[in-house]
Amino acid sequence: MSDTTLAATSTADLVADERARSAELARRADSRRNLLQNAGVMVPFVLVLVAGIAAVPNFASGSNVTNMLVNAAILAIVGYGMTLVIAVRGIDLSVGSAQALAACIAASVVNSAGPLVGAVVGIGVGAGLGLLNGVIATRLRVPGFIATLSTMSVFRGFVLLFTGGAPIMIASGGFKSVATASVLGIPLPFVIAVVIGVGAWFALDRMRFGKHVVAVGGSPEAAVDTGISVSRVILLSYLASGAAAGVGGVLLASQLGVVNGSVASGLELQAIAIVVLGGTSMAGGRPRIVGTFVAALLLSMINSGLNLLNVPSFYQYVALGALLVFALSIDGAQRAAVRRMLEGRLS
Amino acid sequence: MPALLQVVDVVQEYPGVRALKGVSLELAPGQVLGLVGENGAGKSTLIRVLGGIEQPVSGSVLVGGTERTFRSSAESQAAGISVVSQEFRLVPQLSVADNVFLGHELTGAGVVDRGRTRRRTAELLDQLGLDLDPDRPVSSLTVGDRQMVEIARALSREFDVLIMDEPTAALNGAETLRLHEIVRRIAAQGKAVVYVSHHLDEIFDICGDVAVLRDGALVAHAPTAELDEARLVEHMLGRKPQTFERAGSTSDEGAARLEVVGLRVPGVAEPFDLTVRGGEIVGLAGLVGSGRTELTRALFGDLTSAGEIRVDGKPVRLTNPREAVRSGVFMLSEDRKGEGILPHLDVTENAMVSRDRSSLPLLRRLFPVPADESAQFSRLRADMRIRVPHGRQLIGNLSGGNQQKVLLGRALLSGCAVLLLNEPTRGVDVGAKVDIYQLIKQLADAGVAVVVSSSDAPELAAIADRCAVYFAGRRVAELHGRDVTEDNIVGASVGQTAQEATHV
Amino acid sequence: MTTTVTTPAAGVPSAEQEARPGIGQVLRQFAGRQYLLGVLVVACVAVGFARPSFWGSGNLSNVLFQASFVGLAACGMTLLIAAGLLDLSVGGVIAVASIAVATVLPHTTIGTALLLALAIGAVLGLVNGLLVTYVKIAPFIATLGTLYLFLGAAFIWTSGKVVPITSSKYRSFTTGTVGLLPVPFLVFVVLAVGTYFVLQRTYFGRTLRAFGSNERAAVLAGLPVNRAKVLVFVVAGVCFALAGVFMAGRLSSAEGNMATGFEMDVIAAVVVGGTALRGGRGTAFGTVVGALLFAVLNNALNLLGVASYWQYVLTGAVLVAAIALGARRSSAAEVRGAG
Repeated sequence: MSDTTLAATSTADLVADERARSAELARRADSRRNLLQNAGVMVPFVLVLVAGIAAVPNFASGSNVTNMLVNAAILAIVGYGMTLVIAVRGIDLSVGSAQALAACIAASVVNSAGPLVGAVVGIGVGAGLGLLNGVIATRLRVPGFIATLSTMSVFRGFVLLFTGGAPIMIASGGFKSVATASVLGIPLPFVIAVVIGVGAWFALDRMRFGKHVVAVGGSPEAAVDTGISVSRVILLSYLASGAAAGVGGVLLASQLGVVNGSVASGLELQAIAIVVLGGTSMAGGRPRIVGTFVAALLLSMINSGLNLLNVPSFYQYVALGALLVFALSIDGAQRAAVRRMLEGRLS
Repeated sequence: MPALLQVVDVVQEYPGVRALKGVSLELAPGQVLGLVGENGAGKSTLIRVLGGIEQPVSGSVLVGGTERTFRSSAESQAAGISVVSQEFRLVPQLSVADNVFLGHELTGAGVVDRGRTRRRTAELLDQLGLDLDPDRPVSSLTVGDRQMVEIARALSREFDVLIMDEPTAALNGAETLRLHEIVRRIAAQGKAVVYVSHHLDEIFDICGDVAVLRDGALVAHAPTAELDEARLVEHMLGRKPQTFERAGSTSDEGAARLEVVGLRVPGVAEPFDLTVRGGEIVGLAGLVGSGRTELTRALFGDLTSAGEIRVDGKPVRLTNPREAVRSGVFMLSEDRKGEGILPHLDVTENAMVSRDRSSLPLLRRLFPVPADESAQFSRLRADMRIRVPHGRQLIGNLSGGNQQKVLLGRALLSGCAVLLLNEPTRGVDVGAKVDIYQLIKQLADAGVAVVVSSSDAPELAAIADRCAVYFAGRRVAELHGRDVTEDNIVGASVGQTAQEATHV
Repeated sequence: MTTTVTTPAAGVPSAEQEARPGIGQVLRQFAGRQYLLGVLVVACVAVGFARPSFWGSGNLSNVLFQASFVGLAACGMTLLIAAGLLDLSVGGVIAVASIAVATVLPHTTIGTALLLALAIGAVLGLVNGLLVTYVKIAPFIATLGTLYLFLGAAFIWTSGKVVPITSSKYRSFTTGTVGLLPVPFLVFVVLAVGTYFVLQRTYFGRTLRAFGSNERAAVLAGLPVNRAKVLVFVVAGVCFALAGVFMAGRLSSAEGNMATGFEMDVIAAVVVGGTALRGGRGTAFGTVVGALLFAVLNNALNLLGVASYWQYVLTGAVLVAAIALGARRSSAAEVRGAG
């Protein structure tokens, strides 16, 4: 190879050129990501909505819509907590068991001490269980998924012990009416879910805590360096997830009127599915509350549609498993696409 | 004048290593202290201690005369110490403004004041002479701009002491000059600066005093005016700098083992051409982020690329590292801990993982035979002077230099025709460095085509027969034979004299 | 200094040097195992003291059966965890494989039924492996999804009913004893020895440990990481199916719910046995002891008349405790440069 004298491009030009290239790559990566994220949830949403209205009898009837909205609300609230945990690179597999325990304790307290105390105790139980998860994950340094896999089993054991395997009937009509009440024609649980969702979005997007969540999930090393207490943020996320499961449990108890030790089993899968489908990346650092909300509606529509079509319940297992795998594939594809776009620039 | 910051007899230990052996330092207001030393001398450890990221085993840190213990970086920052770290510690998902004020957000009742954050960030960037929209996500920035954002972050805090760990490793000439000006201005305000750099001319340019660390101990501390570059290097090395015997240019007749024509790599602006003959050592120089790392990764199939690659004349398609290894290309990453060693495996297995088994007897090809492997390793240990008590030792417990020798052994056993090395002596102590240079030369003499990508200009000057210099994703110079000197490489790397450095 | 890159003679003098620390390491490892064995012995003695019926041969064989079901699956899980992976779909694989056996048995030979079960295990493992390796979904979540897929498939296949196994030959084959030991336990021991061999003495096992230790480094070393990943899921699927084969024999039937929650027991046995969840190393011997330990504990709960719901609590709590202890141990810089 012979010596080559290069064209006399000036340093400034080279730098400007590199900058433009870098910005362009990032822009393309971003748009690719947004496309996949939005398409991942919006396309199925529209498809299921259209198919439901067109092919499922009674899909758009008032009572079914109310039913779907209440189910979606309970799911979405749990999903917000899960969104937070996944955004800090954790996972909470114990939400179903925590929700069951909160629902059963709440039901029992409602019967003995009144609806309001019952609701508060239920949420408190959820928060306490979340705190326990957080402590195991941060203080005992057990990876989140295995910590919550274990507490999933432990909490389920507790709820079965608490109920002794028997159902708990809720006597209070006032408590049961929470799930059926409506504000301006919109079911109250749905209003609650929207309010909590707006609060969660604001906290994540506009508040210091949200920046810290993104930092811990996006780059834990950077978070440590800038003086953010990583374990505190993770602890709070698990706490929030538990509390959200508690709120969901109280609403569930109100909706069902009768709770037993096996309610909400498999909830973790639904919650993870809607969070990931909503565009929150399993890689951490990108919480998307709005996506979670939309995906909760989607899943609720799917469940409702399958019920109305009298599909045996085990097909719903398959549907849920397939939905989760689909959501995760989209997430994987999106990350792969972004990596392909950006790779080479981070040395 | 009372010292702003005092470090008294700080000792830091990692399992098996004494990283700091009782270091004491003092910083007066207005002082700019240059901190120099070889890789692994303890500079980074000292900075991590001061930054509160690590807690020392013994010794104390005094700020403004009172003793402080930093249990986290938050406490160190509260005491008035601001650190620009060497690694890129930004959150790619957040905007420039959010990153600058991360950890000390401008808030009212927990809500971020976005207007004020944006304005203050714009001011800081303006000071640094950087024309950047504060709302841009950090993921869209070049490596050099990221470094500037990190500096802006450090400046955004209230501080009395500013610690900068190789801030110019990714900055071009103009940016470096601007940074120097800012450092002088900060010092003039009565604050103290600790400035770590490998570029000694920088130290002489802006530092009033210089402290030299060697093997975890402070070996010199003097005003820069009393020192010259040669003396400084002597302190760093603990002996006269060794001039490496430059092998009289390898014969041009060797067969080309690696030929690359028109290789397009993402992040590198131009198609890449390279021919390396057996026995030749070719250097790739440039700042951090200049694109040279991407080139080695592309040649190893670790990055998607398009173009023609021939190994020993045979065209190969490299889409993943496994294919590359099978085609006779081997790469060692610059991140030895993250991408090199297999920490749970012992040194023998670490050396054997990539072994070319095609010529082994059938049994050994199907199953690893412990007796055979430990004999192989004993041979490697002797040849490469790996200091390890026995072959069952876990590799994580070895020093950086010995780990690197084991990895070079891995490359050797893979039977590669082309060896790509990234920062081969990063985190390696001085003694082992010389060993590793010799091993690289031996590998080359044995007929391997070697490509070394390094930010260490003296290193390339010492071992490379040829050297291509990259700047902002473009090749700006190609140096041959006698022109492969430290000055030429550095000059072209920072983009100062792109044309002059290209020798015709 | 002139050194040549290969000097055959250099290997000789160091040979005896190698032997010394090798023995030390073996002893240390052995002591580590003794500790867990000690716990097992103490547990047995304590339970036997509280309830002498523990030592009854019927009860002991119960314990061994229980340990073998968990243990057979745990052998596959040991390989997975050593490779830094995980499979939560155990219950699904067991259900599908067992239902397949129960369905075909009336029409075919035992050998064919067994082969079919193992083949199904391999295929379901392959599904997991492909999802994890090529769709790049985190293993625990991918297999959580497939757990529900497989369970759903099992329920659909049986319409939610129990499929009885009427072949008495099959039952006596799967629940028989050789001497004092049940057949499944013997199979478990053989499989555990095989697991040790695969993990420590094959290139495949080395690849598993390598990417379990540091995946990027293993990829850059040119190891066949993707292939090994898929393969280990297939092997694990076969192990799970094998556990299902014996479970179905013991229950004389198969159904979708036969092994729900089983993944917890399996993971707990592996982790308590000393295989680090973060990957890089695995111990088949520890898995054997771990499986026995859990079988003894569960048996003790039964004998003591504790509500069966406590088993959920106990398994979860022991798992967290084992991992927390492991995290503490490794944080004492047992392995530098890891994780």
